[in-house]
Amino acid sequence: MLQNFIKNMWLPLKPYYTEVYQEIWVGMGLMGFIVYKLHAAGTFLYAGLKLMGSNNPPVLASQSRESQHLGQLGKFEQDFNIRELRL
Amino acid sequence: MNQNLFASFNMPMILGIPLVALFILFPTMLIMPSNNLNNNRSSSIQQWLIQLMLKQMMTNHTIKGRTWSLMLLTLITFITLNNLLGVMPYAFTPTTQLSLNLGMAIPLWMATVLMGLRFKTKATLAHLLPQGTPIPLIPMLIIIETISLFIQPVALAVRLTANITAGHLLMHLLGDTTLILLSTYLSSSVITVIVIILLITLELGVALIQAYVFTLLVSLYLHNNS
Repeated sequence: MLQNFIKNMWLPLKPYYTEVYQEIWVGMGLMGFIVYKLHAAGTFLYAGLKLMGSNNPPVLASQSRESQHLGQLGKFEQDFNIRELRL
Repeated sequence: MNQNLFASFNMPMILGIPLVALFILFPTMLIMPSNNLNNNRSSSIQQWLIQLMLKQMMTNHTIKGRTWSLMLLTLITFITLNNLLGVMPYAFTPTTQLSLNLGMAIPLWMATVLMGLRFKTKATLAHLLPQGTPIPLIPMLIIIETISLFIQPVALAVRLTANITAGHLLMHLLGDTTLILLSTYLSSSVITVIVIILLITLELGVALIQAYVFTLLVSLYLHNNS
């Protein structure tokens, strides 16, 4: 599989990754640094709020239990909360 | 039925694992590369579209700029297919997430600026001062041009996010309105259904246009710096 990957993917695109896209790698490094800083700031803020004794530290919307009727469902339905389609 | 207006913008998860990678990779299944000279209809249409986009975008570029053809074609295809994913009901649209759009805009913009500084340093720095500027205004104008340069990736990302998000919000709002009106004023709900159909047509157009605008602007920054 690795040999196929090298033959079909890496060898044809090697000039792009090594020569053409050099500046894009730098940009991706900057983007990664920004993402790291934002994540670290969020973690720091969350830890600070918990330390100060906040009972309800903020939670990301994607991580929250969304609404009341979710709480009435079983654990199985809560875990499979991809969408709620009422058919 | 979604619980609230913004439920479709939340990351879908199974057992706490975000499914965003699946949603982003799903459009790759629709693009079928082929080594045959004569392909089936769908592959032929895809190849014709790719050639059309290539000619449209890359004609005015230098040799150095044309090395970015693959990147720009991939960009427009990726954004178009992700935007069109969202026109389906209840679908999650990856391009409504500012994180994704910034993740595309910042590296590409930075790459064009670095390319300009590396290969055409004097010309790139000269772009910070428009020709014919009065001497007293020079310091202020350089500051303004620098700020507008640094705002470019943010504008790119926010433009795409806001356009796609706004359209989806409108569709959700009108859909909820229609559902409520169905049980009360049936004739008004017919009007809202017609508006929704028109809005979906508009959303299709916006999806295609915003992908084109994003790629065109990246291509313009590349052209200015290569």
